[in-house]
Amino acid sequence: MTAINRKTRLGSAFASAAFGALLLSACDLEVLNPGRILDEDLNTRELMPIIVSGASAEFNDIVDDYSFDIARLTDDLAGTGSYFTTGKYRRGVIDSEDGDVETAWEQAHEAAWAAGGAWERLQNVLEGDANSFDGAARLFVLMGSAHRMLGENFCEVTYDIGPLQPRTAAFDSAIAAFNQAVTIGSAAGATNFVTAAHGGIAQAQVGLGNWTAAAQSASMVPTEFVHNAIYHLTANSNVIWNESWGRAEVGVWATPAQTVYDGDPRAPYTICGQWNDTNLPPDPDMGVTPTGTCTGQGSGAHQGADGLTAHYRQDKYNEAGSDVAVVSGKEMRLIEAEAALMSNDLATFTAKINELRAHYDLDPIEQPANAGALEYPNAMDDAWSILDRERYLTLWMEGRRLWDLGRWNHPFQNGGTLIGPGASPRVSCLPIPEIECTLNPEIQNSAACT
Amino acid sequence: MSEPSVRTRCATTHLLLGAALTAALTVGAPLDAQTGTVTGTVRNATNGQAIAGAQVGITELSIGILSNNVGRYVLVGVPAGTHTVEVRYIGYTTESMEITVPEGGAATADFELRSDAISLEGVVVTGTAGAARRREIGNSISSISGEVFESQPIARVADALQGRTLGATILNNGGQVGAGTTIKLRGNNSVSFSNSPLVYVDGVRIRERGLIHAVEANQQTNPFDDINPADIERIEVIKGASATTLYGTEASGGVIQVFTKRGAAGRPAWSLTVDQGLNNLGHIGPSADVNPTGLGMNNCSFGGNGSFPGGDSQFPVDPSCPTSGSWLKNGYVQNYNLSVRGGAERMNYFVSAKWGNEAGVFDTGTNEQGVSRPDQGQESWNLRGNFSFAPAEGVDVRLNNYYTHKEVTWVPDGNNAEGLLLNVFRGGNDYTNDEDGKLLDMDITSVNDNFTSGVNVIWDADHGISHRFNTGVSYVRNTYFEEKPWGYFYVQQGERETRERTRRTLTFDYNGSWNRDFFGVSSTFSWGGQMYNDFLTGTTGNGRDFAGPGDKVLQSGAITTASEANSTITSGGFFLQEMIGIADRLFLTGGLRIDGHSTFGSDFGLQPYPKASVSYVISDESFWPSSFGTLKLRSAYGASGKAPGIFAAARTWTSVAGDNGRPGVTPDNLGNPDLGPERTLEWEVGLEGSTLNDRVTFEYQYYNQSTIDALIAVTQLPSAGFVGTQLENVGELSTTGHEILVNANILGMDNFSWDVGASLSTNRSRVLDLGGLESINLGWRNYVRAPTECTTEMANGGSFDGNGYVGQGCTPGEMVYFPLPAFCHDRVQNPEEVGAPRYEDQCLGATTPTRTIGLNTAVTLGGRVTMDMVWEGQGGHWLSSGTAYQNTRRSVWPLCRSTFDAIAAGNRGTLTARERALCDPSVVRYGMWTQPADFFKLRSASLNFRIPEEWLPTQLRAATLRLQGRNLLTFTDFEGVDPEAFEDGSAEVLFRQEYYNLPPIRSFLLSLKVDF
Repeated sequence: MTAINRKTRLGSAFASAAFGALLLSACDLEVLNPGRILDEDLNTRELMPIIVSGASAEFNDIVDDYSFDIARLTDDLAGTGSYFTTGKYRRGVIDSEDGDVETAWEQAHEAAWAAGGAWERLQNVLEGDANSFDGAARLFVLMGSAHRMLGENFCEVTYDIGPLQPRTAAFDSAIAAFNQAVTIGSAAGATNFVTAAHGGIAQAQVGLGNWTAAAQSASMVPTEFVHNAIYHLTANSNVIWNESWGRAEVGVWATPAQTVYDGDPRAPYTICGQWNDTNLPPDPDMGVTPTGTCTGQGSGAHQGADGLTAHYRQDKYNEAGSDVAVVSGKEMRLIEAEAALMSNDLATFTAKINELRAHYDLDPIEQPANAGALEYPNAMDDAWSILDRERYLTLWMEGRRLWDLGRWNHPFQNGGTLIGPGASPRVSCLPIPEIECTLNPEIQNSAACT
Repeated sequence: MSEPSVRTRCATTHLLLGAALTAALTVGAPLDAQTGTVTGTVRNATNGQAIAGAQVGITELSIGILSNNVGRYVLVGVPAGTHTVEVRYIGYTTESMEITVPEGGAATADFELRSDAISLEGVVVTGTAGAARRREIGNSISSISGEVFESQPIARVADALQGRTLGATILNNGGQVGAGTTIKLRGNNSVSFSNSPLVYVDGVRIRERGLIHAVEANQQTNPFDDINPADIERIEVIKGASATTLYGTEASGGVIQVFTKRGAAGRPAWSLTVDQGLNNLGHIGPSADVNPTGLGMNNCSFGGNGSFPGGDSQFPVDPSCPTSGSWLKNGYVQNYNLSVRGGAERMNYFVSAKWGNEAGVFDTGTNEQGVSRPDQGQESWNLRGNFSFAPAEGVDVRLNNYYTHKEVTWVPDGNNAEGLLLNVFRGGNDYTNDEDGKLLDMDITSVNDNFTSGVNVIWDADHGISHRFNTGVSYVRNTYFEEKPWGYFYVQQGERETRERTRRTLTFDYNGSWNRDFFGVSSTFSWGGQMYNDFLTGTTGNGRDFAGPGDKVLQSGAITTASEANSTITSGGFFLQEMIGIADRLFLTGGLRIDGHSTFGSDFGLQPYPKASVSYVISDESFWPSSFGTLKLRSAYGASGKAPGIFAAARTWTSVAGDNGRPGVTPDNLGNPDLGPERTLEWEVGLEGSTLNDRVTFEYQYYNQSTIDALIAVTQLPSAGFVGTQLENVGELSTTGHEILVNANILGMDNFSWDVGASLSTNRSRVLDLGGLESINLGWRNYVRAPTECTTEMANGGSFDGNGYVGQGCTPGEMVYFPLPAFCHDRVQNPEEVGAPRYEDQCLGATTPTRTIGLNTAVTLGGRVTMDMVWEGQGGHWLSSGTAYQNTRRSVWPLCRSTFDAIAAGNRGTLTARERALCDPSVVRYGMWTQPADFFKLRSASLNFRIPEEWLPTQLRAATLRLQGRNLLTFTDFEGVDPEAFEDGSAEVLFRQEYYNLPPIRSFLLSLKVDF
């Protein structure tokens, strides 16, 4: 081997080694993406309102979804669309493996968890000031409301990978959170959140069957008060608006709002398509004629997304940013009325109902002769029927109907239907989702999961 | 797009074509000497057929020419004396011959070339750490020679792989011109990430799939389709981790490497190709006797016939139907391709330019104002300039550049309330009140700009040391425009959306090798490293509620929104490999690659990938009878991986608009500092060879892949709070399969040759573990399911129409494994009973084909006329017809007429559960319209005629006329619209379904290619 050849080979080896070293030293293997925020970057005092706003967004995410799913499962709205689940829900059937059950369960848990996590961060960053920060009061209203929604809609609950508990556990958690909101809100002078917390306590006490406590808390909320889940045209639009104005997945045709309570200002709607067959029920094969009033407003122009049903479009949520009430003074009057009815105090019952109706400029009712019983369709001739009507119309499409139907053992649950056949019984609460059953060893073998 | 901009585009195209021509003319200079000539012919050694276009030359004299149509060549001006004539032709071994040219006379040199694909001396470079002979390689490698691109009807690069590449499944995703293909090699081996192979062009990694989904069309383009097929010299395909180890992380889906043409010493050799033709679509849906209107598409003004007097009530006359009476038409296709190659001893060039315009098959008609609506189709142009020079002895420098611009105009399609097919197929029960023309007022356009530039430096130093260095940049910019004009029926005040994504990939790739021989043993030691830097940026904007009509931009809307994407990922790795060769017939290879990656967790570190292989050319042994031909036995083991997604390892939060748009943050990702790549380990055993004097070649392999630490998006326990998924290395998958290929020259005579080829590939992808999850829903009833214990119900459950389901007949207690992914949904269990159907959820089988059959044949007559056909079959998979299901729910499905009639007559009670499960709108289930989707298609057929030289003007060297057709025949029992019409198929998603997508179209082209 000559010196030159040796040099050449050595040169090659050096070149290679240099290249390899260059590669490794140049490999600054960092992901660059300015869109994400690292956890540790959020621990500054100025960012605490942002943390609270984020927790609110988590909660807002769930309320309209609940409203949409519950509307299809009950007689709030008729499923007139083409989603896989629509036909099933309108029969009153929903299973643990349905994605909507999973979503409802996850979202409510995450909303409560996000509010709790935000409170921990507030305590770390603000230290003692956290106890008088109005945003903290708000967090506990959000947390309490998420627990209340779990309790109202799910048959049973579980927390933190724990064992199965009765749904009342969710109401207990809700009350604890609302009480915290009252304490912090009072210290912070955040009247609105204190009032909302009282309303939340009233709702949760209904869930526990504590009617006296419920009425007492409700009385602290004026009729005109409302605490909303907030929607926005671009940030987080209202799902029911999307599904009834953007497309025609749900409609008012055949619902009590159209067939029994037609004309009530609490349940406004527009007839976008008119059945060509005037018989009841109409023959879908004869088609639907557009009325022209909904032209240009998405697929809901005249018929449901199923291509078969005349579209009667709800107008309560008439824009993408329409808010959904979470706690309202109007509901409080209904809670007071129901509490009175539970003790057969028909005079107080009538007074509370009329307080509510006055808010809507509706004629007062006369005191019913007796408590009576629920019917379907509603005969509206007794106190329970009146309460049914008033709660249906006041809380229409706010995700509360399944709770009412279930706790009242409403006759609609026995094969009631708006379109097509109805299951008997219809579901009265949502099952624990399959994902929780699969992953939570504490409940895998429980009756709720087998 | 306004008219002035179209003019500008055309002018630019012509300018660039002109520039390419000018550049080419100035690069080469003809030689002119009169001392002697060399003549001869170039033929295929296997079948004796002439090879046209082979490069024949004497390198040291810079004299060269291409062989003509009958394989003949003449080298003029060759100085008297002894020279070496060399013949090169893409896909064939290079041959050389020493000749002596007499002064003023002629020498003769005839050549017979052997195909690289069958020769163990053929050289490949993909996955081998430098150039390697086929005999040295222990894994399978497929080569598509440039001859395929020269002689076959190849419209997109993926067409060349279809039916020709073992283990490749090429999925056409729909019939809209411009819709990208999906390529899978050896099935699926990842749940969470793309299963597409990596793609390199001349050593530079390019984007392997589209950047932007055309939302309203439910399709997307693929940058791979932007490569001009006429520029390709050859393609190498390696499949599986045993072959792709040296590519490391991200290579477990395989690697495709495209090599483009280079120049050659000699005078400029020009080539011009002109294509004229049409796209066309035949009858759509069930047969015409029950479906006279073709689901309303073929005939939208159907007035009736003998079977349907007065028309078809399911598909009433559409008042907006085009004047032609159909939503379909023949789309005009035109392409013009011009290239030139040439050069001198130390420098050569290849330059090409192509312009094409291809119209789709929709008759989009005119709007209410009488203005023509946008036409579905694409316009594209490509430019390429490849330059090589040798600055010093043993050093070769290559500069390769290409640029493609493509505009695709789409028609709204697929799962889209504003989709044309969805509304037309649903007859009167649609969203438009059966005036479907108004959907076409929507304007949807994708614009792609694709630029790749790379430098290859090859230095063959002394004493067996060589270095190869590749560097380059791939720059892909996709833009998507979607506009619903003011007055549009669905959004009356109009809406516009613009999306832009740009991806820049930098490649740095070096490898070196040192070859030594000692005592009859050869050693090749290789080392090297790669680094890739991926930068992605993009914006999305939306504007809605316009004040009035006219051309719009986003800010024309009263309400506007915007978002931005921006990320950079860097990956790098290095490898060492040693190959020992014994007696040039037994080769043992061992190697190790070590990778780092941006997306690995902070605690993870580096990832090693080992490899080992053995290759044994047993036919070189003395005991092997030479009459048996050649045979190589091989086996390989290796690993490669797939990286986690951006930020999957970090705990992050994301910005949201909270109350009334005020800022907020919500949890985004839990993070996992131990996160690493999923690793696919594979072993492969096979053989390849030839017999009967190379007239029959064959290849076979069995492979077994196991993906461990598979990245699974694990759902967090909801009751613990955080909702969502976190990638974890917890899954395990397996894929096995067989691949066999046989090519034969049945007859090989001077005036007649007949070649046939057949291939079969299988893949069986199964889920072994999902890290505790039972099932992952991919959408549309496509699931990734963990193994489950066989139950009595599974073992004894009913079946529908004899079609088995996963686990049917299993032994209770044993484990049942599910394909990746599987269709699972309700199937009727009491088909023959009269009454209501009883359903059970059953998993029916794989959603992507598990076997692919390719058949091709070519007949050559008189050396001038060649007829060839390529057939392909895919099967073993299931596909849901969302169209059939959703239409049945609306009582609009031709195959269900009798059931609809029975129900209308009040006879529902007389129907069997099977009839009701399929056709009763009140109880039909999606799973009932999920069927085996096996098909067999005539992918292409062509007739080539090499025009006799005596017919040509003297300025022309050769000319070929070709009539070709694609996608001509389909055989299938699938009862939906088409087994290859996929919702979002080109978006590289795992799920598959047919949902109101335009089926693949057929095309006919007449091409004239002239060489001068």
